[in-house]
Amino acid sequence: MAGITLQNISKSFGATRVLRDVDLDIRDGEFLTLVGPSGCGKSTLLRIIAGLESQSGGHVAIGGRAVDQVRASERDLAMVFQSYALYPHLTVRQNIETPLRLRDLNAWERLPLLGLLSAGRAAKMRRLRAQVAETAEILKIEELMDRKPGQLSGGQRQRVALGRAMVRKPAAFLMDEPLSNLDAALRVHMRSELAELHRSLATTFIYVTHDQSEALTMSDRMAVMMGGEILQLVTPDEIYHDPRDLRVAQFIGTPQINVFDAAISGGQGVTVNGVPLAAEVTGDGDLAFVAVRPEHLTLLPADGAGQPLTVTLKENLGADFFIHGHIGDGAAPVIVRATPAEAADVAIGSVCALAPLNAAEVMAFGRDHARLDLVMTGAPAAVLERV
Amino acid sequence: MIGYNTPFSTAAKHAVLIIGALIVILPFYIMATYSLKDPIEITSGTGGVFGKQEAFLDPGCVQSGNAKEDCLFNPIAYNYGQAFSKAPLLRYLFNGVVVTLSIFFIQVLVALPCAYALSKLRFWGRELVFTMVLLGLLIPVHAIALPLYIMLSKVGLTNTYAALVIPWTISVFGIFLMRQFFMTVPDDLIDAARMDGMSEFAIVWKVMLPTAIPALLAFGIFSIVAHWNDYFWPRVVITGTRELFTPPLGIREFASGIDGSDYGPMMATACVIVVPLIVAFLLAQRRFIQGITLTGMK
Ligand SMILES: Nc1ncnc2c1ncn2[C@@H]1O[C@H](COP(=O)(O)OP(=O)(O)O)[C@@H](O)[C@H]1O
Ligand SMILES: [Mg+2]
Repeated sequence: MAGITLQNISKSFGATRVLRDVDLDIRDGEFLTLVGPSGCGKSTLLRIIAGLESQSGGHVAIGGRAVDQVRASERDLAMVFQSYALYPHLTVRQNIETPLRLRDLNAWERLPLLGLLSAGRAAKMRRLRAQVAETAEILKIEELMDRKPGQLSGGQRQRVALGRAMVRKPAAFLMDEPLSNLDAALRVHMRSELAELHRSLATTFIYVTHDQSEALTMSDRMAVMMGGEILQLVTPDEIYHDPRDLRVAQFIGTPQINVFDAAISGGQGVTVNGVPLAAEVTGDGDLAFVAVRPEHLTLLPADGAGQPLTVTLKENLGADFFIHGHIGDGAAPVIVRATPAEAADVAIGSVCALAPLNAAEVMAFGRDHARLDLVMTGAPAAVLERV
Repeated sequence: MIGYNTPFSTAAKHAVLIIGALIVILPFYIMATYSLKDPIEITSGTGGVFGKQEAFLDPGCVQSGNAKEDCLFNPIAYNYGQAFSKAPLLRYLFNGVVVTLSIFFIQVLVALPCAYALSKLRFWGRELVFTMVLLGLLIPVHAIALPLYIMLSKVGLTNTYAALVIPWTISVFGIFLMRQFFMTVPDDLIDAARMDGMSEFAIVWKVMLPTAIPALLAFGIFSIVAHWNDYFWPRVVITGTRELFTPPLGIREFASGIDGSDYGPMMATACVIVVPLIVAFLLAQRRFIQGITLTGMK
């Protein structure tokens, strides 16, 4: 068990800068997720922590010990790969046993026949077998132990890969998109199992994914990465409700957050698509966008006093409907979450009205994508006008 | 081609294949059938496939002063008896086994780490080294035979096993073939082994080698066949001692003696030399196909 500290980590492949001065402080025992679009450098960062890749600049420390010059095998970390990376020629038992044999037996004791002559080997092997059996029991893979990886399903291989990582009781687990080769149902199931495993092992997990739902459901904290930088590192709740960067707000949340052009016009304060918002920007910053989550937009009956919204698509998700449309002549696409009752008399192609924005529920962003703070001036208009 | 398999086209395809097969098999047929016949049947082209198997008189035997009755031989017994008695064929076979297996063993010992480095390690000049490997493939053996011979004789290694083995221990073809195979092994597998605590050498022997068995078998067939059958190089470096002759040199013992070529025993020797290879291939073939079908790296 250990915390992990990254300082100013940068990485270039040739002329391409993949990581730009990443600072990251991972607490002991925490489930930290690195989430971001494909190609943003998540795997590279994880591999630098693992010691499989060397950083171009910066420092890595594990449990307070600088490990910049330490080989991957001596960092006491375990990794689970997207492709599982099991040894195809070994049985499940041998796969799980391998890291233990390499750590606990010396070179002499690992020799095929001569090793049997060494004195302490029998006792070590007994201890090792017990650890393997214990791991198999936790993961419920006891009946698979004598099969080869080729004879297992994806989910089973996943468990074996977890077993191979767990059996050493490493200081931290590194996982690179471990669920993305599983089918959807199994993925959701494994999510809760991994979270459960993290609770029972109480070890640091660093989990890489491009899937925001995995990040939101499992992590203690999540780091949203983009273009080789960590944009924000907080709890999933805070990421969703209080993104500090427009790109974070857009990346997290399905369907995507609605973004409108905004400006400050003299006398009227903030205007969104030309419509005044009862709010002011505090501090300085060049206001450019206002973003609202679909659940914070409200549809009014067609004759309501609001902006006209032309409906282009109605998505039925059972408990909710997502109404897709655009304001005015198609400039701004909008998604609204509606209850089945609200959505009942919305037809595709019809025009309904969008309630004025509630200043308490919108987020303002500057031209550089940074979040700007808004204060309300006056009562939130939408509440007053709602019928 | 699906849907165009008329009986006629099928028959035509088979006819072409059968004719091709016959052309390839013909020399082997002659070799096998000559080894069963007596000299008169061989020179007159009679006796069918197996010969009449009548006892014949060996003129050489009579000349050396034996009674006629003692010089009547059954052709098969004579040919194969001569093959093993006139030349120490068992010794040659043993030499062949020692040389081909040593060559293959050392080739693997060299090729696997090289192929691993060329396919999975990142280092400056890797592409250059690989280009040189490709260039190495283009150099014909005969072009460098003389320099090799001179070098070996300078260090006093001619007429030793070492002379037969050393020049072949670094096989650029082996390096190339294994490198191509290793390119298909996922990087994650190697990283997983590193995380488990394996050294790079352990990865080569404990991870790459077991996954490369089918490719190694293919390479093994090429290497062993080539060196078992090689006549040129042993002829160059083994000049004195018959003790070190490899099987193909043994065939020469029967060629153009004072009383002309002794085809029967010569072909019997050839059969004895070829059979181990064919048996080995048939045994390996089953594992070979198994190996190919079992390689799921996923
Ligand atoms: N070994 C490498 N050589 C060159 N470029 C690489 C290498 N590994 C990764 N990259 C590049 O670095 C970027 C980040 O890769 P990666 O960390 O794998 O992204 P992610 O895991 O977030 O999808 C990508 O643009 C990728 O092309
Ligand atoms: Mg990745």
